[in-house]
Amino acid sequence: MIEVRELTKTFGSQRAVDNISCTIDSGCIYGLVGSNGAGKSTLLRLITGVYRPDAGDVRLSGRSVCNDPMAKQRMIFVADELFFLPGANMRRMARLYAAEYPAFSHERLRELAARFGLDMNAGIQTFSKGMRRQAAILLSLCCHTDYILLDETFDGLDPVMRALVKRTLYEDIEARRATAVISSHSLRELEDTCDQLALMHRGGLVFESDVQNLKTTLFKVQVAFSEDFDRTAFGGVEILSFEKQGSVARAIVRGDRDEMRQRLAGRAPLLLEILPLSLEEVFVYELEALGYAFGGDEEVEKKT
Amino acid sequence: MKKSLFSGGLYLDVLRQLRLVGGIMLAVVLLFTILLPVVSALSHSWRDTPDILALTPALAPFMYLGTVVLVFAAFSFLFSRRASDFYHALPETRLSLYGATAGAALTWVLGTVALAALTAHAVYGICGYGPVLSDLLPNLLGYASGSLLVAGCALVGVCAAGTRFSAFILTVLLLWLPRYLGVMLNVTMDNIMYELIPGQMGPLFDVSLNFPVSFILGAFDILEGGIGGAAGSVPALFYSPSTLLCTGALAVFYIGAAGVIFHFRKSETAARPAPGPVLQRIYGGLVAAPTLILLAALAVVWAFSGYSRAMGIVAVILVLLTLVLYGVYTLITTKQFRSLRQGLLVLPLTAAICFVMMFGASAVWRAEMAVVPQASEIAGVRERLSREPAVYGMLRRSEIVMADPELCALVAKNLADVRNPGDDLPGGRTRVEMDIILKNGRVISRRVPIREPDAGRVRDIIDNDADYFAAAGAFPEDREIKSIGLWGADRGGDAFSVRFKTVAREVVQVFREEFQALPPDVRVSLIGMPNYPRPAASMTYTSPLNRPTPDDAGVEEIFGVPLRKTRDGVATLGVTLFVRGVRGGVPFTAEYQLGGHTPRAANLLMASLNEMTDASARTQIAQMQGTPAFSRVHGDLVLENVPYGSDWYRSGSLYYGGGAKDTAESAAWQTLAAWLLSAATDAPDITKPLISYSIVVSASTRLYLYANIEANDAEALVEMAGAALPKVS
Repeated sequence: MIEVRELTKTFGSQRAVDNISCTIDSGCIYGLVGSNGAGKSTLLRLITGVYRPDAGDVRLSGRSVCNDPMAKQRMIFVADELFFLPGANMRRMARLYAAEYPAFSHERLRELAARFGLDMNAGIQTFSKGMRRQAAILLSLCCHTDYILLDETFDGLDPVMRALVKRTLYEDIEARRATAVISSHSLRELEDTCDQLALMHRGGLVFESDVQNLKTTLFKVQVAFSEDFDRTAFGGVEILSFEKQGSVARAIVRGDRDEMRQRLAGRAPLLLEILPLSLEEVFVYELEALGYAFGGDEEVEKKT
Repeated sequence: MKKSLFSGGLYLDVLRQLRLVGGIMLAVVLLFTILLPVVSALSHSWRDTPDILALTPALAPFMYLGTVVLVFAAFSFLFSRRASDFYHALPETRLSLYGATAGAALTWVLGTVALAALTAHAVYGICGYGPVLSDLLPNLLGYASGSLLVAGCALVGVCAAGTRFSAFILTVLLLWLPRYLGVMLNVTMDNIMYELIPGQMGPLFDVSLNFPVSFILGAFDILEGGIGGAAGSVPALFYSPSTLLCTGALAVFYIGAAGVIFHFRKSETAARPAPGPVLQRIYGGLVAAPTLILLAALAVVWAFSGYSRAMGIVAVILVLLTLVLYGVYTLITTKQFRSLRQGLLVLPLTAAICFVMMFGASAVWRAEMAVVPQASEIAGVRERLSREPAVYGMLRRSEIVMADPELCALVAKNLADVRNPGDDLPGGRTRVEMDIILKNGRVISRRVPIREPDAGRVRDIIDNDADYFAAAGAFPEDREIKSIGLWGADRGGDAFSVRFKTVAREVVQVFREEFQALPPDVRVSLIGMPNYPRPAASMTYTSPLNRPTPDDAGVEEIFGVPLRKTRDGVATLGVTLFVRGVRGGVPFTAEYQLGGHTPRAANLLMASLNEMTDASARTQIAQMQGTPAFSRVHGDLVLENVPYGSDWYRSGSLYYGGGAKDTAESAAWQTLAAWLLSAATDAPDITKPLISYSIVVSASTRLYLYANIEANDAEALVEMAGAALPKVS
């Protein structure tokens, strides 16, 4: 389990991570989403000990990560901007990883390299951007750590390779009951991957929830009655959004879907549709409920 | 696996990462190290034991450049955000990451130094330049400590800055700035308080305590002349325990400090010139410090000696230069003009610090100048060594403490004349560098300005001090000697050839016994030292075009041969025993004249040299007599010590032959040569009438021999020699 407690990190006058607390359970795939500059990469670097926090703490199964090689040995971090030793090929990089991670498996690396069609003897500088990212991911997977942290990992991968990488990642995670933390600025990227999702904005953790719970507890209701009605028709459920045009009302509701259906059906509606929301829509409405307004280009501003 | 301080796996990996750059530098260093003695050995038969600087000259540039390159290569991940993130994500503590990386770089540094030193000694030994082993440890320690110090500065540089440029600037400043301050303090003190001796005021003023800095200063002759310190020459640095210890201690300090900086360094400062705006300004201040120190020094001189227009102009130039240096550094590193304005406050702060240091130092000097001992407080005085490399006799003299009461009184009296720095002292003054040993144990070093009537008396007392006088005639101990040679033993040929080394070692042992049994005044007469007249044996190797004439002092012409009386009838060979070595960390040289005062050594040398001559050459030359082929034969003759009348005489080198044929001189030369070939060369004795001669047909057919003649034959020989001399037009 990764416990983040009141973590804060400032660069100059800019607060990149602002008093974040969260818990990442063991064995889950945790998605971290947010716009550019939200603080995702900084948070990952704080968790992996690359940065020292200005305040707060990160603990790995009760052990502080800061300057602790035993804790850090259980984690592997694949950064958004990759680094390889100058002139190195995958074998050379594997030697470095093996020196640092005792559980590193050369055999597994050979197997994965073959699967992905990567030449282990070729210089990594000759690889394309996507191939380099594949190489970095494979090397990190072969370290067999308990925690894998990936920062905007799937960028630069074509759809086929992306699917292959995801599948390989899941295989590994499932086989070892590892925990993965994946950051991205794309919700769609994480939607079908993660168990838990957290949204960051301007250094803060705005929203965090179980994905399945999000998808099932929040839904859109389209209903029309012959008589006039308002939002009270929905009973005591939490309504995130309500819009009525004529006799048709559209509402975003949090609650139990079946119970909602029964309640509304009991009033003999002219129209009743209960529709699932996409994750993007879930996030939008959740944020609105929290008081954030959307500008253009996915800009999110806290309403005053 | 606990890796709190050091990670073996990462260390080995970094060691491997550095193999390209480290391997190239090691190869270049070893190549030059091997080539130098091999090429030297192939070029000539010289086999003089090399000076310690000549052993591994390739290590000098390696110490400065190679070390920095290795450290920068090892820590290159600190110059790139992505690389920095990668390394800081590894399961290491900050200290273990630093330890492994620095350890790998230092391994390459020390490995190169050690391999080069061992290789040099091995190759020089194989090529016959031995013995050199006694210099192995000083050579190794010198370059190792110097390289570690440069590496330590580079480590601090890379840990304290995030770009190569800033790290390099910091490295240079850290290495040079403290000693630059020391040099400027010495220069300033030398200008305003000439009685104080630079380098004797404490460690900060002793530039020689920093090996790599002193190495450069010494190479440009800046160590001497009142600027340096205890070690006045570059070779002396290798033998100076204080230099090596201080350099090593400083290196350890910097390496440790870099580790502390690395531990607290924020990884996100990679690729930034400084961790923060405050440090950025401090670094800019450090860049401006050299010119500000110079400005402060100027101000001190100004305060003591008064203003001059030239000083004003220099001050303005220095201020402008300061602004330019600061500005250029700030613009290069921050690439922002507003940083110039924001950081300008650091310049007056830095200037203030420099001024405080300089004026503070001048207060210390004033306090030191105020120490003027009474005669009754002086236990003794010691004349300081004024130049290096030292002559051995002068070195031994500088160890003699003279307690003569009159001498102490004269020193105290003249020292008391100087109350204020820059005083105009009346009358002519001779400045004598002295260590004044007080009865309370303190030693003060001064250039004592002794007025003219007293200066002569001081010189007399010193020169007539029995121990001081005898010290000039000391002979080096075996353990102090690095190399010995016989100048003049081969008529200007190879004084240090392999064959001569064996002879020289034997001659030295015999010479030492005889020399040390001689009275002091005789000993002194046999050595080459400043202010002491050399024996009148300097008529060797005069060229035919530069033959002495009767107009030269002491020269008489007998049968046309320029001759000079020998002193007391004692023969002096035209061979000088040359000794080089180290005593107490100070390199020295010494020259001793071989001759009749040390007859066993002289006879041993002559017999050995005669044995080396190729006997078949005698037969070949004899066969050429009376044939046209003899016109190719040339030679020279030295009448080392021959009687004429009631006196004994010596000639210089008299050259014959190799000139026009069918002349009276060429015929006379054949006659002379025949006579010489018949002279007895078994066991030449310097106490008897003696000649030496060479007869040369070619480089491979030649005779160099010493021979005794009968006293009765001396006059005839001089006449023959004069008849055969080519007429000088």
